[in-house]
Amino acid sequence: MTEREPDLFTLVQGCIRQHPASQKELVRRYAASLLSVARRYARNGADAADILQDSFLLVFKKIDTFHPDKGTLAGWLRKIVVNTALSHYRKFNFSHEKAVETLPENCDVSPDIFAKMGFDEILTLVNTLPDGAREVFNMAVFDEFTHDEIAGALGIPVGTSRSLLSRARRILQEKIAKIQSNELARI
Amino acid sequence: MNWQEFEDGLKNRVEAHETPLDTDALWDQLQQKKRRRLIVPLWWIFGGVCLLGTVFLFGLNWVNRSTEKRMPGHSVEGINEAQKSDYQANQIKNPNKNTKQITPATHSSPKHITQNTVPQSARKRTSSISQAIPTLQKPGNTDSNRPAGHPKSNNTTSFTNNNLAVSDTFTIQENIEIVNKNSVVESGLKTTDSTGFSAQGLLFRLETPPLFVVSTDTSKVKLPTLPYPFVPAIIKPVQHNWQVGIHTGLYSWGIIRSTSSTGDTLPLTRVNERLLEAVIFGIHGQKQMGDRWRIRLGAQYVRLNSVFEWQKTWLTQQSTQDITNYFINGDITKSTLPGATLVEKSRTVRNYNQITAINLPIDLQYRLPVRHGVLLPSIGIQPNFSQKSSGTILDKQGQPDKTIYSTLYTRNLGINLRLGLAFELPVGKHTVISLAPTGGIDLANRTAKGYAQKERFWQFGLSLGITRAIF
Repeated sequence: MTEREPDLFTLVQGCIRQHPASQKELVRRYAASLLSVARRYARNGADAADILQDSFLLVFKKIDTFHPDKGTLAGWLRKIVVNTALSHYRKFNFSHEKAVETLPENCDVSPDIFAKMGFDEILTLVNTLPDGAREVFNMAVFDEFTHDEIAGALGIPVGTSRSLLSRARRILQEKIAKIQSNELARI
Repeated sequence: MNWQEFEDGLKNRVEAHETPLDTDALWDQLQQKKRRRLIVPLWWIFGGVCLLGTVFLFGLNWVNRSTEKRMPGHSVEGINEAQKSDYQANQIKNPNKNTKQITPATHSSPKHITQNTVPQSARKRTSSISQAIPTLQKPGNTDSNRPAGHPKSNNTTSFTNNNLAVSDTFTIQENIEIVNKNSVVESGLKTTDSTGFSAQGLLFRLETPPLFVVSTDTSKVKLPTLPYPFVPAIIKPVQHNWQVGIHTGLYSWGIIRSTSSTGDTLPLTRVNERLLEAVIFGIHGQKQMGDRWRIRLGAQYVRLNSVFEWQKTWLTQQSTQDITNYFINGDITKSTLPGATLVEKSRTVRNYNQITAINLPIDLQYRLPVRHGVLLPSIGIQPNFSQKSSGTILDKQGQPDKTIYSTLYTRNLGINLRLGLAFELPVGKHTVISLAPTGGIDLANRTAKGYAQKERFWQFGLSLGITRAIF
């Protein structure tokens, strides 16, 4: 007879009471997806592991502040990981952008190219972005932070956040376009 | 493609991705990290408690020092042959001066009545009279200063005899020690001092010293800052974070060695000490911190009681001198002052020791699973407040008669280091029984200011506890 897995409510209640069994179950369920989030912000694998551990310790401590009305548990955990990663690299050397880059209306990339790219390839591309642009792109595109939230979290003006996002888009578009052209050349 | 489609294309490849990892290994790493983080606050707590305890201890010592300065010494160990000669010479040269010095307790009977022969009724009578008289009056002022509602005694003979019986002892002591104005009896009964003195405020002093002159008085050694028991760590299954419980223990104790102020080992004068009680009761609460570590807080009440006998030796006068006693109730009697020849007397006296303490142990325990249970080595500290009283047992019920033979109290605040090892045995899902040897040994001498002897104690016992998980 297998033991029935606790539902989400029971799991959260157990974590609030600091029951080790519930905490371990939380780790088992969410560690893999949260590690992916941590890897996007970390500069190497060891940092990602550290960020994940610190995030779970923070989750165990602050789980009583989670309100189901305000979002899903997965979303709340993801934000914890992002904030932990940001605090892990406190000193950003952002050049505060004064003006938003003007991008063309469309980007010159075929939709098919994404089907050929895996998580690791995209991660490698994103990691080539300069500091600041990488965090802003991660937060705005993958983790759905608003520019106000990004500005608050990174301590930068909203305009800088927009500018860094534009720059990240342009750089990534250029790199993906290059990959695409290489693919075509290979054919 | 527009930029929104570009971002969605990337996001779709990333969003649902999961990086495979060993969650059990991650869980172990989390536990290790959690324990490392707990160590820092524990050291802060430990340091804070030590600091507070030290400050409090200094404060209490300062208060005790102030009190002890007011307490006269009462050991005749310091009286040597040269001093005896000086005393005798002084008696011959200026007998009146000596009379003033020994003023307070000098309405002795012509013959020396030993303390054992004093009837209990006589002591009680003396005490009640002492406490009924608010102030003492100067000699010669009799009826005019008599308290309202306090008629002149019609029972002069018996009253006087009672007082004589008791005060005879003090006369002896006063002559030997020259000063002892804090005695309850002396201050309450009368004065032959031409200036008189007030007894107010002295009648209820607990610090009044013992009334006997003793050659070797180990009961005056300031006893415990008890290194009291590492009473058991009590237990519970590790999956529960909080537990509460009770514990109790029985133990034995004794003196390791007794040394003089010069460091010489003294014979154990209390080898015949008989333990009447040696018990400990306590409550405790504990919190599990991970699989291994546990912090445990408790409160314990400790009490022990013992009786012992020794040969008391004191010096007294052989020849006497008659004087007149003026009592505050108007009575005038005759009594006898000691003369100039010092003689040594001795007899066996039964004494008691009683120690009461409140301990607040704080232990850090480490769980070591064994075949049928868990072993718990522990380390901790223990703020403790203890009170020791020592006195002479003279009544037939075996209790100290505090109205006559005052008790010496010492109070201590101390911090003890605790090292322990307990065994816990689960009995059911939520309850655990624990068993722990309880032991302690003095690493420093116990002593009191003004007394030459120093002593070290040992104690050993067994403690039993029961603990239940609350959640």
